[in-house]
Amino acid sequence: MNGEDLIERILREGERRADEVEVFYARGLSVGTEIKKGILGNAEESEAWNMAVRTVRDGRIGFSATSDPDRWKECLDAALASGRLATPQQWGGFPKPADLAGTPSAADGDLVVAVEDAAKMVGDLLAGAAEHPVEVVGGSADLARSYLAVANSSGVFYGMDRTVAAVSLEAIREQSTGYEFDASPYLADIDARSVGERAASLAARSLSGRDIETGRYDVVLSPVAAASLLGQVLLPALSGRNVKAGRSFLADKVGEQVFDERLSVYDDPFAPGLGSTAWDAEGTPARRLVFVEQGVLRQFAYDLKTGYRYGEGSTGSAVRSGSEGPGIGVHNLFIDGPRVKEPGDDRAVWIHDVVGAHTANPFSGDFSVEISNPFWIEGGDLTEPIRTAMLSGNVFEMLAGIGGLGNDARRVGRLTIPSIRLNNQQIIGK
Amino acid sequence: MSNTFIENGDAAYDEILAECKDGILLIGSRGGQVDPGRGVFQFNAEYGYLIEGGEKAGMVRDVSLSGEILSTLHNIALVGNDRKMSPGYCGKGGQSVPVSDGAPHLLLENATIGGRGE
Repeated sequence: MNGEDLIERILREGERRADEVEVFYARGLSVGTEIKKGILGNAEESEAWNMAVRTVRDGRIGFSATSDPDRWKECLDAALASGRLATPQQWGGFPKPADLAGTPSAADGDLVVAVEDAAKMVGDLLAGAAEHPVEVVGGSADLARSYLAVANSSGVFYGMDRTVAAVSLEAIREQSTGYEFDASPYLADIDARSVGERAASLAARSLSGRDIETGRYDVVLSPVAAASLLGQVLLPALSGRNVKAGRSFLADKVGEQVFDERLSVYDDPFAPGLGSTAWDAEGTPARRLVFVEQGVLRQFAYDLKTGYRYGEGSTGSAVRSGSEGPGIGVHNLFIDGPRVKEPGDDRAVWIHDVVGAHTANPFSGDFSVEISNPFWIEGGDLTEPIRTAMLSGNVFEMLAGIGGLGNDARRVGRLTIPSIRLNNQQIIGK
Repeated sequence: MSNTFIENGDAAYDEILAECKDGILLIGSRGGQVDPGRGVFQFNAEYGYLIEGGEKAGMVRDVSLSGEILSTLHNIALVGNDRKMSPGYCGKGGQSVPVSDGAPHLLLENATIGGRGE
């Protein structure tokens, strides 16, 4: 039975036993290669098949998932059984078929899931790393192609292709490490040699960093460091679920100037990116959402359940990871605004990445993290490495008054973000 | 490593606070991260208290400890006698095994604490 026939069958069978049924379906092929001890050490090809079923009966939502097509009946039974235990929700039904507002840029027709192509990327990574006197301690190159579909008993049946090309490399020189990575739906976007070279350069150039005195400094967060902190703190604050539960710093601030007027934050599901799509994980049409416009908070993100519960309506922001049920998220989040030529024109501490961003407090915005590969930056050039130090502060306060956005936006997971200059920040050094 | 811990010393908890005089008491972990190549760690405490004049004083929030693992271990001045173990899992590539770790209270000298204070 092919995927579409199976989905139809589950919908028909489920409809007899519940008010509504939804099937989320994914199948994919991927190759993954790993660098071990400086060479291609391991390659594997895998095929995955996943299906998640939701049933609704009298407002009680049931959920189950399986990775075995032959067990679809048990999966449906389990969804119905979990629905019997669920607390009834305010519920207005799964979405009906609708005109989709845009076309996603999620699949590369030229990307072939072949181990030879992944091995070539490994070769490029290693060639890039060889430009500096470092040891390569790890890395990977992955290629994947998948088909995703969402269908429900109200007549929605959307399907799409998605491709991913991803590389990473980790290098070490004595006690100095460097890590770089990139991922895109488009193979041509990935410059594996440059990723390898940059990881090796970080390791090589961070050697023999000088101590820094504890105090207040101007800092420049690279896109990677900025994405780590904002991903942990800003994203949860935009979730309607957290807003309504009183867990968001931004709750009750719609219409207010919450951030610097040079900052805008929006989700563009149609832009090329790892989350690019025309419909969300519940079959609601995705649309461009402006969360923050020139520093003014405009709206939050909702999925069906939270939208119905609070009378807000879904914003098409449902996402899924793995075989879990849908939750509120973003598709392609952009941190954007007018750029300055170099965010480091005046001397500042440039921070490539942070260690421990996941310990930042998403409710208050407070964080205290170790910094990785810090350098003094002057006139846009990294001049001198700095030895280990910590950075602490508050993400919401930082975004309220930034020093400027750099010209170097890059994709980090589902975020596209430039470097951010922040003046007068607390560094804990010697 | 299946059961990794710092063995008990002979200092009582009150002695550690008294010896510390002025410092910060970190309790529990909200998670942390290690860069094994650099030998650097960071962790964020669940609760933090100031220690003033050898006694536990006011609470501080969102404090982290970071440092180089080996030099941090060299800077242990007192080892408590109240070791606690906590269970968990450790694994890779989809496989995991039950493990545990633990330690008594430790007095660390010259540690790097990050917080919002000046």
